[in-house]
Amino acid sequence: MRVGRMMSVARHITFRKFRFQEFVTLSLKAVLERHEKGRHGPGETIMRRRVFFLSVVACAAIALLAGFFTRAVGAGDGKISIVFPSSNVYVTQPQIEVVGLVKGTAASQVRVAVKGGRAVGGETAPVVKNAFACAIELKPGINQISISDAAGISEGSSVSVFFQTEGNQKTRPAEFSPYYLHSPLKKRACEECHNLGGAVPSYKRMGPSATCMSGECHKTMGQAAFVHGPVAGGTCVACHNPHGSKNPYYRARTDAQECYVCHEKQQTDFAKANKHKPVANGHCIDCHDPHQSGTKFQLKAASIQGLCFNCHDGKLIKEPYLHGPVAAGGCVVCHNPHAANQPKLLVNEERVLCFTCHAESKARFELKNTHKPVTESCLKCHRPHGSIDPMLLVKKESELCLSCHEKLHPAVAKTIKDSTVKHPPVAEGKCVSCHTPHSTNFEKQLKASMQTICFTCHAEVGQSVKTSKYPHGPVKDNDCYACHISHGSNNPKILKNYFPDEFYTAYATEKYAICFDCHNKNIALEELTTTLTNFRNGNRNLHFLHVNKDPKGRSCKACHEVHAGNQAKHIREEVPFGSMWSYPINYTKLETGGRCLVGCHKPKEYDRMNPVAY
Amino acid sequence: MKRLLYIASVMLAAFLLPLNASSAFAFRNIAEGDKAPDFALLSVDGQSVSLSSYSGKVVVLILWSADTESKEQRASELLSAVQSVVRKYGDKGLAALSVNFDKDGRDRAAAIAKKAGASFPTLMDEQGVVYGTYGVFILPTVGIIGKDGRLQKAYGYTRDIERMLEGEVEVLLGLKTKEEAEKELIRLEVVEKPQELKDADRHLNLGRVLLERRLPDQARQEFEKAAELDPSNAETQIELGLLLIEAEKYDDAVIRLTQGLELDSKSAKAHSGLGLVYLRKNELDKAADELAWALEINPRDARTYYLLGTVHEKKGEKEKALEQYKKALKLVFED
Repeated sequence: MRVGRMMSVARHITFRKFRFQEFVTLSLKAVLERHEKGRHGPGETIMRRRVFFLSVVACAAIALLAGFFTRAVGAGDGKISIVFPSSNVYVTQPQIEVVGLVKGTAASQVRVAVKGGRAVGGETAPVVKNAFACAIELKPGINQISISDAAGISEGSSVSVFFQTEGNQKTRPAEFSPYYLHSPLKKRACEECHNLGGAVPSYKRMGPSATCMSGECHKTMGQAAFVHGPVAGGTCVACHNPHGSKNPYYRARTDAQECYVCHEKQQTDFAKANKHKPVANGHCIDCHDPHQSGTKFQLKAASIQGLCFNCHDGKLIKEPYLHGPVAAGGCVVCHNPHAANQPKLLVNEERVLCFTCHAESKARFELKNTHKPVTESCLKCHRPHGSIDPMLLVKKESELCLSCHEKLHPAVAKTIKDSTVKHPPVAEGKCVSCHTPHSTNFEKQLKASMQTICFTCHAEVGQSVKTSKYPHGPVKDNDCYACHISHGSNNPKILKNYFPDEFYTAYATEKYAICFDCHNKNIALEELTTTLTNFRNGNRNLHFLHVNKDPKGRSCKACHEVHAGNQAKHIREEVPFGSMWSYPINYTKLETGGRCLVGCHKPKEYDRMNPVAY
Repeated sequence: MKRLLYIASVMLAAFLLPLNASSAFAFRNIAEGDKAPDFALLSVDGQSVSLSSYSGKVVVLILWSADTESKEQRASELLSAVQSVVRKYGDKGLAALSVNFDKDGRDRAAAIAKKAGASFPTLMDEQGVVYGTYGVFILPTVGIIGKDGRLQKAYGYTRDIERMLEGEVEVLLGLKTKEEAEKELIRLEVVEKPQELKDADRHLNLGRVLLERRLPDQARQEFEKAAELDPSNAETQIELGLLLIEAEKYDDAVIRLTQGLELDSKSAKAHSGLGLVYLRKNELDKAADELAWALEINPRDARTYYLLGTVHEKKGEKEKALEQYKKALKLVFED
């Protein structure tokens, strides 16, 4: 790429009749030096060598043609050319210098004719060392200045200059451009750049050792860590006209057009839907120093981020949580600083871009149930630069979730807000403890199966369930919601309904509403039954017997474990007695009844078919 | 190595819902495999319907009540779930029957069944005959009876009931084997990697992007963070090593590249990097060894052939150098 760029510079210079070989030599030297320093990978170098060889051949061919072309033009007899000013320029000073060269004739003076203004030194000017110079006093408006051979042999030359005093420029015709004159010319100091000391004056630029930087005027150029190629090569003329031009800083072209002469590829690359404003305006030098800089890419700041924050708001990097690329100062990781087809100058489509770094997360975005915002944009929930909240959230986690789910699930939102007993993750606003904000194979956007989630924190219950022989149905069926409301409730242990905590309590059906959500609510209402339960002696309902009492009715959990137990019907292995003791229960299931050995009473049996007489 | 195991597990673990994952069998009086007792009840439309009239079909039997809000809600969901399975397999020999136990609840039962979209009969068992015969003790309960009239499964309600039912029915209708149906019930749970490993991956990837953007200094900082968080990642160590070569910190580069090779002995990049270090240090024999290793692993890397050529050239072995350069050029042109 760099060699290609050099070729472009070379072509550019050659057609402007400067010594091409000089530049090629310098450029080659620069490349070889870079290669020696090992700045390119060796693999690259192989390819570069190949391209380089081809470029050298091509450049040489261009140089030969250019030389031939130059000679052909100069072969005619007698020619006067005005070096400056250019034609169709406007100036604000009342007097200007007109300087030019005389070739192919031995004329000792030239004729100066001015329409509008007047030649200060009269109608002729002397030719000294094949050059002439004359001062012209201008009149407001168009001044036509013609220089011709006094002897009338050579071909003449003329320029039009529009003069208007400062502050009165509105009247100038559009075809007249301002003119910027390089300061040595203001002093008629031609010898600063041209070798006029010999017997035959030379108006070619002095050799490569004498560049704009070798004198006093521009000696600081080329000294920084990162130097623009033409500066390093001493070929300032690649971009500047050494006499003057219609463009500021005597540039040969305006704005980016000057840069695109060599950076052709960039011009193509920048032809995208969205352009960074400086690029769109052609102001490459808003960001890049065209000569040199202490920062890579010749940036006009100490860092990429520093450069961006010259225009963009730097508060982005002051948030407590920063996105990795922002923290690394790499704005260009996501944004193309020049042009892109994506909005916000993003280098790629949003999801592709995010997964470039977050590749490890990708699997978590492609499961069966995807959270809707994920299908739309990561930025629905995350800020791309920084945030005051962890995970770069746009709001505090709980507020963020509720910003949509309050409308989507008003009942859940109400539970979260109003319940007196809140599930701790809910109280802490940590919705993602149980739900995934991205995608999952489980319903309700849950991260995993109910048990996996619940037993992550409730490990003790999980362990007891895992090691028990008889789990309660809903526990085994992964249905913790059967009894608990996962967001919160008005009952202890976030139970769906009230459940008495006591061992003994006067019976009331509503006290066991939570059990009767699945079990028959008449189970302890009928003293005699043949259908309601198998816990009966003949038709005597033993559930009724144990539970339906006042005041010493036993609660369900007096005998049954709520999650899992090691005896049939998940019957407990021991029951509390007072605050310090517990009695064992040893239950044996028999074919038509059962046997209970407990501390509560002497061993007892029951039989549905042949009732035991107590 | 630990890290490789994480990658190999693709971060997903199976959560299996085996087809026999019901709670303790949902009937007190009938065991799995028993003949399902016949019954004849009046439907909400006043028609007499018997279980035996469905003989030869797979029958899903829903036993339900709506005497509490929760039971009603679960029954409705279950009726809908069964309806959707019936819709799918009704013409393949599947039938369904629902039995409601609510006393004086005929109209209510009819309304609930209608709302759930149930196209199958809803029967009323106000006297609890079926309830007592089967020994129901949770509501709703769903039983699945095979073509032979034997009760195969019985469940209480779970959120996964539709998927489980569908699996059972497919097996009983002979549409799938048990193994096939169970395989479909597998749901993958994401196993989160430890945060350090996740962060390490992100820093590594960010470093690579920064490298692409020609910002090697920032890239190196990211690789260093990744290496600190997860020193066992070979790629991180190797990337760091290669950047250290460019920074001319050869000794540090050797440490990183060697560590990378300990973690991944098959890294051609690391061998090639070491070759370059030794070449720069003028330790030509060692350089040749490393480069030869690299080429054995990846014989299509032009850069390594070029480096090997340079080593031979420096050793004065011009013929060998030429041979390697030619190979490098050939690959460059092929690309």
